[in-house]
Amino acid sequence: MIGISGIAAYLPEQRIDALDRALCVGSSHEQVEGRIGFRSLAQMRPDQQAKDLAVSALEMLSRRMDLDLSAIEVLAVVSQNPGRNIPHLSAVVHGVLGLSDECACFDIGLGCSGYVYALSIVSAFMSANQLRKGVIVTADPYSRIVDPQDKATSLIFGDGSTATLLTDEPIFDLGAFSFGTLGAEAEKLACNDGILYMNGRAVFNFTASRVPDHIRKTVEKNQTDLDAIDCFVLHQGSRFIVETIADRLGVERRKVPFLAAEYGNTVSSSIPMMLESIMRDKNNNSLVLSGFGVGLSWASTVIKRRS
Amino acid sequence: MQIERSDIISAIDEANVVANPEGLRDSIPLEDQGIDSLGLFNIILLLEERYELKVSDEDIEKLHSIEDIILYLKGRAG
Repeated sequence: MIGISGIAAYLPEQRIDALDRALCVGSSHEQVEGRIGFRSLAQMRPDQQAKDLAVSALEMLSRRMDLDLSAIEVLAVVSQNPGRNIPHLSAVVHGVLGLSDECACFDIGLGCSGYVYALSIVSAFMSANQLRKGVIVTADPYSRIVDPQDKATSLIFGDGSTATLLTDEPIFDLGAFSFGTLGAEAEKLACNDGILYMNGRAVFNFTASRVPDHIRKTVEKNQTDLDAIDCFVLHQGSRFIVETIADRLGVERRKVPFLAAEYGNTVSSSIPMMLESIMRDKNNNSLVLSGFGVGLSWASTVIKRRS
Repeated sequence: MQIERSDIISAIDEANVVANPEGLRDSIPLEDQGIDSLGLFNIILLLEERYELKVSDEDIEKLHSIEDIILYLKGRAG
């Protein structure tokens, strides 16, 4: 069965001081530290593009896993800011890294739910086509669409990328997935004329009212229960959202970590960015992954360490 | 529908956005008592769920204090 064998995460070196920016947009240090949660935001250089983030993550994965890039049989890139729509970013990355001519490539145009969707899509694609090595890259540089003067969005998003190796001899097996969409609310988090708009209250209400029940049902679907989950790896929308979901789920906040304080909400990269370290802790055997955001869209699964 | 101060305090307590909800003063804006806009969103969502109503973005702009919230909910209850 296809599952996760390894993850590499890339963060650009440059940081925006969110505490400084807070004062410029009418927020406060207290709100940044206590509620939003991101003290600094990773930002790619002006000369970097989504392609460069994607390539950096995949190169790191190759070094870390001793992965022969020519052995990759499918590459999926999750991004809503690929730089260009034509050609697809995965093909560009394929070309830069000289992957095999027999490697399938496609993009997945999803935001914060994108990584969990991608795990389901790519693992199913691999199973259906008898493939043994696949990679999911997430690279969605929101710094290119955020207005630095916009209080609702300028204190949240950071740039980063990840690469996840899927194989038929994984460390973590993938469980059953659940998905959802609330298209009627899609305009509450949207990019119009190149600038991101977010109705913070609508997004908060959506996550607080939908995601906890969705996680409960996903856990049930996987024939386990909340007490048996070692760690809930939630999309890092903000500290407040993560803590609210933990409280509404009725699980201890320590099992629902917020780890993005120094780099920001990296959209589809946020879950694998955390998972890279969480999966190294041998006490973490049963994990919930849950992504939610643009769409409005959500997706969750349970993954289990192979014994 | 009876709306009492204790109902609002109970929601604030459940929202877990301030250390001592009982100590809040009714006529002072919540923002001045340590509850920011995100905390207010959480409190209003809990009240929406309890009373099965929707508070519009326009209406929430008018809700600053516990008194405002009590009066608003009483008005919505007819």
